[in-house]
Amino acid sequence: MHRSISITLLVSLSLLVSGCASATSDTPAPSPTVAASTSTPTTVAVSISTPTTEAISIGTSTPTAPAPTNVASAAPESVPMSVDADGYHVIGDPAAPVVMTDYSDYF
Amino acid sequence: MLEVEPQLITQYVTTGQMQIVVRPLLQYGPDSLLAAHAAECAHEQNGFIAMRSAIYDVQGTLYKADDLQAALADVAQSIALDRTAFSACMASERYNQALYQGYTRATNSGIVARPVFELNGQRLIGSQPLETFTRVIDALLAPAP
Repeated sequence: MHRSISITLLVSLSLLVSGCASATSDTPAPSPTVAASTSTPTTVAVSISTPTTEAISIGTSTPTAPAPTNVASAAPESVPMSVDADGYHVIGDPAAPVVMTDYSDYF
Repeated sequence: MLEVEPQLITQYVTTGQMQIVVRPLLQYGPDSLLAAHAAECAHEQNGFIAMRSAIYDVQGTLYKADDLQAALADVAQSIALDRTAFSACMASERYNQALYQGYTRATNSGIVARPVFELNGQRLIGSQPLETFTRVIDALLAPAP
């Protein structure tokens, strides 16, 4: 009698344990999802840093014009213009006491 | 040409106290030569000053132009010069030799980079504020003690 009761209890217990095990295996494991979501920002961060680097290299490789060292000045039409003996253009009275020689480049 | 040139012209050139001698450098090689040549060609149509000013006005655009000669012709036309005559002058390259000689004379006298100014022989190297020019010019104009 006791023996049959023990066997019944053992069978019930084993059924109960296997049922619980089965129920546990059907539950979606949360850890892989969490791992995937945490890895996503890492990927984004890498993709963001790449174009930033490219943008810097493009900016520095762009050819630059000579620094503007001057602005246009139109001499008033009343200012005399002439060409000196060496062929250089003279703005102003060629008899003026101060001679300013302007060595410059158009670029 | 310098940023303060308009003030200097108003203050000293229009009053007959100072003259400005323009000596172009060719620091940027063929492009500089073309631009200087364009100013000479404009002079044939009495447009030297206007062309010089116009080139400085669009200096950055000209520097990046794919066809500088055509861009300079556009500039000439924009200041009402005869484009056909201007282009013929440019094609002739007749001022190249004189411009090269002038540049060689400048470099031989120690001028290697623009801008440089000489006021009655007193050399100022690099861009200068208006105050520097007026101080030097006023000293030159002051009666001898």
